[in-house]
Order: sequence, then structure tokens, then C-alpha cells
Amino acid sequence: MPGVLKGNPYSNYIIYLALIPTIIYITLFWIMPIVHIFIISLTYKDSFLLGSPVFVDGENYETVFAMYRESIKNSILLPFSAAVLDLVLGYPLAYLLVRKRILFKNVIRASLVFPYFGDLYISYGLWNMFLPGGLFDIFYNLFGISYRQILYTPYAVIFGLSIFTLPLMVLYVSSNLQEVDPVLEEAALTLGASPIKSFFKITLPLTLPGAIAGFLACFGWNLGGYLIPLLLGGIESGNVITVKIVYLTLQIHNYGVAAALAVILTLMTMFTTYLTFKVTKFLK
Amino acid sequence: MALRNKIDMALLAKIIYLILIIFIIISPFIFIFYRAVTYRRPTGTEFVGLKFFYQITEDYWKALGNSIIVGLLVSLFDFAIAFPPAYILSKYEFKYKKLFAVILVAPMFTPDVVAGVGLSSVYFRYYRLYGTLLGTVLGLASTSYPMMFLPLLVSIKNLDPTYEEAAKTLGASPPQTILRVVLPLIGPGIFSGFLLTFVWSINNYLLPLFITGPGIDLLAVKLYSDIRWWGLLGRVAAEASILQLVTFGVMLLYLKTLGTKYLSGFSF
Repeated sequence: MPGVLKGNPYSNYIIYLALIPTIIYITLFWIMPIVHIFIISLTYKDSFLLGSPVFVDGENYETVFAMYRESIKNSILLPFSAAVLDLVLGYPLAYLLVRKRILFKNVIRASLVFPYFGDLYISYGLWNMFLPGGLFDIFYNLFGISYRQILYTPYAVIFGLSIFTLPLMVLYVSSNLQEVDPVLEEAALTLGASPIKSFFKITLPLTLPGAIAGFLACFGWNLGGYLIPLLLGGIESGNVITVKIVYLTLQIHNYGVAAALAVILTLMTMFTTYLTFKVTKFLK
Repeated sequence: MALRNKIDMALLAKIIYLILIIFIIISPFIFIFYRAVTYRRPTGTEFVGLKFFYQITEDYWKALGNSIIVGLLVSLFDFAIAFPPAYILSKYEFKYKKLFAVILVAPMFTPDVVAGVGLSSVYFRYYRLYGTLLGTVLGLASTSYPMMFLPLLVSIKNLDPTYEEAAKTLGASPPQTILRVVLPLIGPGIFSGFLLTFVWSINNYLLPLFITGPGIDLLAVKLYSDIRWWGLLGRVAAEASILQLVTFGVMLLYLKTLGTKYLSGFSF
């Protein structure tokens, strides 16, 4: 639809004029903070915030790699496992939503919006459910285990994170699936392929970009998760970058090391987002 | 006969899978409501009615008011910031358009912690906005405006250009066309963006933790600290269920009026 208002005398300069407030806002409130995280990561503790920055070269990064290697490892492993679980749980759901006439379609669509906004509720609700007296008591009694074998382990964190990002996976896969013509599957079926074969030969390869994009998006979103690892993982299993950053800034005011961790987190998210955009061809 | 059994098994598997997944997704939310009206004893669980809701203190209700005001202001500001680029990006071609689009969407993927550390340091050092209402609104808007931008982009792209051409032919100026023709026609998209950014900002606890300070009490922040320090109390579950009810109300309004049409924009 380019050039709808082409002959308009306004069109040439008003474009750039109307964009100016947005550009100023983004520069001041998104680009500036991120640039400053890079600067603060080179300064000593909270000297930057107090007005007289003391530059210490790469000392903060040395501290990070000496002391917080475990957090970085957890921050990669936990979201990755959660994204794998999302793919397993979410792909069939997206397929059923788009292709089949199923019961409670609207209930599912509505419920998929729930986790989209609230890690506050997911973490708190799941934490209550995992505690003794919660819903998982049945499960504990059945297998004869204590609640400590589930809560405060990486498995609880992975479970929570995967519920948090399930809607993203369903969104990406289903929007990709909508573009795949169902006629292709029907053709495979008429030509004698079994439903399973037609799925693996036709549908799966065609929806692979959506699945990969969904996987990356889930991974990227879970990187920023904070309360879910903290509540469900406790001190040991919930030891991820975000928890460490909040602890370092708000409790012991060591902004230098926190910013160094934030730089690593930002680079990881940026890279994931870039890959997502690449896969979904948002850049083309 | 064998084929029939096979189909039944597939159907059964499908139904079990669907029930299981709905249960997994909804149960944390339902369980908070359940926790708010029950009391846990070593001997068993006891129903206590609305007892815990009466224990909620007055400053909590004040915080609810604050949160709603902040949420509305954030939505308004997001609209002001997101409408011009959404309109221009879907109507015109220009250099670096893709790069601009990426910069407009990328903040959604910024972790709140990163935005919080960065914003709090620039607020302290340069802007003097730490702990103010303006700072809170501008800060929350910085990660939420893609939620306004994307539905707007979808609705403007789906808009039939003949309406604008007709307005132009009838002698309307471009600002007039936008105000009288475009804005009313993309009403659902605007509404969608408003509700999404509103829900997003009243539920955000991590960013206000960094930039709002003790000056303004926001509900989500209060709830977060209550969960961390008094998580086992029934009162906290009651508090959480109130914020949940507000959120569910808005989301229900969203789904009733708009369906899931505009959410598809989020997968690019």
C-alpha cells in the first residue's frame, strides 16, 4: 500500500516530523539506559550513581566469571529446558487449535492469555501448590516422596517457566500453521500416505520456522524471568542472572558487578531476538 | 472394528491431552483463589470464607487506585508514542524502515531487570525522575509500547485505503483524515492496545521496584514484597486474588469484544 498519499504536499517532510517525539523518547528511555549499563559495568560499585565514577577496566567482568559462573550456566540451561518442554506441550496444542474442531476452543484461547501477563501469579500459585497441603499432595502420596524432592529443584523451575511461555509457542506455531494450506495435507492423504507420515513429511517441515521462532522466543522470554526461579528454585536452583542482579543492586548496591551481569544478559537476549527476527523474516 | 478402536484411542488421547494442558495452565491461578478462602492446618484444610479479605489493610486499596491511575497514564502515553510510527510504517516506504521497526519492537524483549537497572541509573544521574509519578509512567511505557504498536500496525495495515482516498478527494486535510476517518476505523486496534498495555503495567512489579522507590505504592510491587516475606499468609493470597480479578476482568473484556485477532500480531 505504499504511496497512498503520494501526491500530497505534506507527505515528504511530515513523515519525519511526526516520528521525532517517538525517536527522542526511545533514545532517552531505551537506548540511553542500555548504553549506560555498558558504562556502569566498567565502574566501581555504585560510584557512577553517586556522581563520581571510578573506572576499573574489566575487574567487574573478572568477578562475574569468577563468582557467578553457576548463575550464567543456570540462566542458559533452565530456559533452554523450559523451551524444549514448551515445544513438546505447545506444538500439538497449536495444531489442534488451527486444524481441528475441538471442544473448549475458546476456553483454550482465553487461557492462553493468562500466563502472558503474570509470572507473579504463576510463581505464587505454583509455589502454593508444591508446598505441603497444596494440590500436589496427591502426587507426593502416590509416589511416596517428600515435597522437597520437587520444590526448590531445577524441575520445579523448568515446569514454572514452561507454563509462563507456553502461549508464545502456541502463537508462533499457530500463526505459521495458518499460512500452510490444508490442501497439501489432504493431497498427501489422498495419495495414500498415513496421517502420521503426512504430518512428518508435509506439516512438520512447513511449520519448522514457526517452531524454531517459538523456541527462540520462549528461551528469550524465560531469560528475563525473575520470580519463578526465585520462588520455585530457592537459593540453589533459582540461582539465575536476574535474581543475582536484583540482589546485587537493591540489596548490596554493587551496581558495577550487577551491570556486568546485565550486559551479559542483554547480549544473550539481543542475540536470541535477532535470531527470532531472522527466522520469522521480520528483517526482510 | 480395529480401525474404529484406533480412532477412539486417538480421540481419547486428544481429550486427555487437552484437559491436562488446560489444567496445567489454569491451576496456578485457580489455586490462589482457593488459598484465599481456606486455612491450612496440620489436620486438614478448613474453609474460612472471606476472612482474609477483611484483613487487607487500607494502604493496599490505596495502592490499587495508584496502580490503575498509572496503568491508564501508561496506556495513554503508549498510544501517543506508538500511533505515529505505526501509521507511517504501514503507509510509507523510507530508508532504514526495517531497522526502525526492529528498534520499535525490540524493547518488548528487554528483560525488566535490565531496563530497571539502566533506567534507575539514568534517573539518578541525569533525569531526576527517581520516585516520581512521571518517571514511573515513562519507565513503564518504555518496555510496554510495542504492545500498543503491534495491534495498531495490524489494524492500520488491514484498513482499506479507499476510505482515506475518499476523504482526500472530498477535500479533507491529512490531519483531518487521521482524526475523523482513520482513528474511528481502527478503534478496535486502539482498544486492544489500551487493554494490553494496561494489564501489562498493573502487573509489572520488577520495573517499578527499581524506578518508583518508596514514594508511590503500586499494587504489584506491594504484592511482590508480601509474597516474598509473608507468602504463607492467607491475607497475601487474598491480595493476589484481588489483583488477579482486576486483570481477569480486563482480559475478559478484551476477549469478549475483540477475540484473539490482534494477538496474532505478536508473532511477527
